[in-house]
Amino acid sequence: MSFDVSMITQFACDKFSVRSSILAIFSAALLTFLPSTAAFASGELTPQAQEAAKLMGIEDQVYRLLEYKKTRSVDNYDQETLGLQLSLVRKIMTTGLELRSASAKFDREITFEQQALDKLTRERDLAVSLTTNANFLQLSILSTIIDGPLEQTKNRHMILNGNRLNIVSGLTVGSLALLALYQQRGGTRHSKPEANLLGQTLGLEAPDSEKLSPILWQYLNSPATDAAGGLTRRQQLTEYWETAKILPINIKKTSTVEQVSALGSRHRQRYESIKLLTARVTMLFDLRAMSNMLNTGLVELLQALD
Amino acid sequence: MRPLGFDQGALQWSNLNVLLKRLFSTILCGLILAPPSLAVDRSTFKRSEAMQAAQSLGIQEKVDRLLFLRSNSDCSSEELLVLRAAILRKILRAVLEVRQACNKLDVERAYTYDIMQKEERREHFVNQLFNTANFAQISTFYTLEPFMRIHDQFVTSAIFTTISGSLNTAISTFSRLHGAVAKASNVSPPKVLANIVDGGPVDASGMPPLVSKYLDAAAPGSNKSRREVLFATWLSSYKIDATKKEDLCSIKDRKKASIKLLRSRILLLWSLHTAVQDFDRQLLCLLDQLESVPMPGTESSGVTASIINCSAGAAEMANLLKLQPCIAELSQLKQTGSPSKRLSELELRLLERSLRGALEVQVASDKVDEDLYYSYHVVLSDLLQSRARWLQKTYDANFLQSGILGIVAGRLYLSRHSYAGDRKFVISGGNGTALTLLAMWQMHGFKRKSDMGPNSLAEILDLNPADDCRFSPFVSSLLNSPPPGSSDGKSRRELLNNRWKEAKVTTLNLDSAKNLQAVSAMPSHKYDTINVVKNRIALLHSLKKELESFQGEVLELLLCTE
Repeated sequence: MSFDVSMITQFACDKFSVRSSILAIFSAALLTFLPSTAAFASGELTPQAQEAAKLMGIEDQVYRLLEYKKTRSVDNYDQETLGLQLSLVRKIMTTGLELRSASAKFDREITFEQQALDKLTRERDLAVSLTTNANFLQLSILSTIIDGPLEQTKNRHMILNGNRLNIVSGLTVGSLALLALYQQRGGTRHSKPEANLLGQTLGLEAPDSEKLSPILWQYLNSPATDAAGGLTRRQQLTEYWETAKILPINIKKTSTVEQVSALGSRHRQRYESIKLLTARVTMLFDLRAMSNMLNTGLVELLQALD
Repeated sequence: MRPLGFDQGALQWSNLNVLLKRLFSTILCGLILAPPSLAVDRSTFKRSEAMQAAQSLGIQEKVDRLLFLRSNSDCSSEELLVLRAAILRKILRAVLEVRQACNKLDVERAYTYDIMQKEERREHFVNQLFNTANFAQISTFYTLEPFMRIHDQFVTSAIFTTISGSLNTAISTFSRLHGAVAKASNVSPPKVLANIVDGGPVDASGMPPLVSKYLDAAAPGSNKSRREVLFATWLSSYKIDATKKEDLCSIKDRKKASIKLLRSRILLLWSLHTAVQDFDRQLLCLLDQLESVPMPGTESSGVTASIINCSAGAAEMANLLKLQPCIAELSQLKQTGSPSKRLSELELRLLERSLRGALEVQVASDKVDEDLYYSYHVVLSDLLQSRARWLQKTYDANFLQSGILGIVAGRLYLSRHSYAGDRKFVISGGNGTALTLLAMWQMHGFKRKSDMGPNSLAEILDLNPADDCRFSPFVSSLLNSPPPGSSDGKSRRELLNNRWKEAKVTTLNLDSAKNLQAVSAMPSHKYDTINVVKNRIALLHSLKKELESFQGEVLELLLCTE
């Protein structure tokens, strides 16, 4: 909706001074916002649809089409209405595909991280199983030797050797158990980590390739229409990560934020542990799910246009 | 008078002759007519799917009218335009509703995963504590016992043996009990996510309107709705009765949930996700059906395609969607700036075909997704669970037998039957060795009967799968053509195969025909193993990534023609 402000100013100064200018400004504001409030009040656009239209910058076109729908039949050919419809469909389709592309990027990053995590977990599990099996094996074999040929004899020297071997076996059990406990932490990543989409979300300066599209970024930085407390979606996610204790790391620390985003000076490949990768995959899943929610607004917008 | 026998014989012979002729002609007719009649069947099936999609979208009248107008050469092009625009809008809405429903299910699944992983980490830690405690006590007493014997304190040594055996048995029993009763706590979605995650029963309710209609309609040739078919599958495959809300793995308002329940919830969410995604395929059938009848007056205008100013990927997509002349003319008309009927016609065509291209890629990606999730959530999960279960059972058996025999040996030592006590330890040592060797063998994992049929990899690995296991001709042609800017002329499929081999994406040798058949789950491959399934998943991920890049090309096409 365009409105020539200079006209109001001129009108106000020439004729009715302050009172008239207030009236004119009020009228301008009314003219600007009337279609949206009217459409919203009549239940034509849900809050999500309204938000989606605003994010795509097509609010005016949407309200114009809704107005046309009231006055003319969209089943009859009308060049302007058809042009408007097609332009909106194009915008919604493009945004839908942008969302799919962003989702595909998330998928790629999740797969990349998941594969590194799987490899580390496999290696850890194999190492722990081998140590545990070695422990059982030495215990069983030495027990057979000690309590068999060495103990079941009258030879005191052999019995003494049996007891000594028993002590060695006992200490080996403890050592191997401690080793298995240490191995539980797992090793560090072999493949080179790459910066991911979490950086921007967690407030770091991310490279352009790791930034979300402007529309998606704006969506994450605006409060959900039905969220309690007026938190933005990004804040909602951060609060969830900080309070729900589903992450094995503490993301309140700046260094941890840099490590999980694989960005910044405090990130090193040697920090890429199973815990860090688990947290990263979880957070990427959550962020993807949150971003994809924009789709709801697109659907509701199309529903309103039907 | 001819003998009766001759007459009867002649009659029988002539009957037989007629029968043989009829049989021969039937077979001949069958051979000649079979392929076309099958094709008719397939196209009839596709048509009925398309019509059902139109019905679900509430646009059947419009579609019928459009098809009628298209077959009529002197129809009003204005009415056609209005109809096409309305149908396109509705199909786009349905496509986005499918995404919306899938996203909702993804959110639920992501949250359930978060909780399940948290609980798995906790259980893993507790199990490790039990194992360490058991080994620690064994280590302590096993070291102290001989020390006491060296100092001639045989009774103390025997008491230690008994204590160690008892502790061993008790700790293993506690470990087993904990595994059986452990549950994740605070599973209900937190307040901060109240508007996003519901956590309610997986009952296919709360879906967007068009998706709900699709689920409530019966598939062509079936008398049950898709929802009923899905619930019947849950009952037969997962033993979950969807008529009972309490069976549908809700975590809402619950304080605790077992890993089994969380796993079932993820499985149901995935299963529903797959069912919803299938709507994409039906919508594509509808778009195909609408394009199958040529429309008068919208084909090529004869304008050359050289004026298109798009990226190589977008140009490739335009070429495959046969849109180059349309885009060329459209950009010429847009430069003149005046809206016209022709401009709307071309714009509509571009949008219809772009949506079709995006949907073709989406359907192919859905298929890979389905293969991927089945391999991950059903096959691999099954194999890993059974391996972990049996390994843990073997470890527990080992601890238990050594504990029990230790108690018996301790009692024998206290009764001064040291020879018999030693024998018990020899037996325990033998059992332990055998059980440990068994555990080492179990580490390889078990086999599982392959029940999924050829997957999306079969076509990529050039194994000539049946037609219904192939991608659509559109996606196949994308995969079989070289990427833009290719210097060696190798197709994407060949490049993908080379990349898999060179980067050693799999731990299997991909030059072996047997391995190729195994990862593609061809009928000749009978049993899946952990190794095969892990490699299959790695390849499917890579293929999905390739397919998803095509959607980027459709987006570029739309952006460069704005």
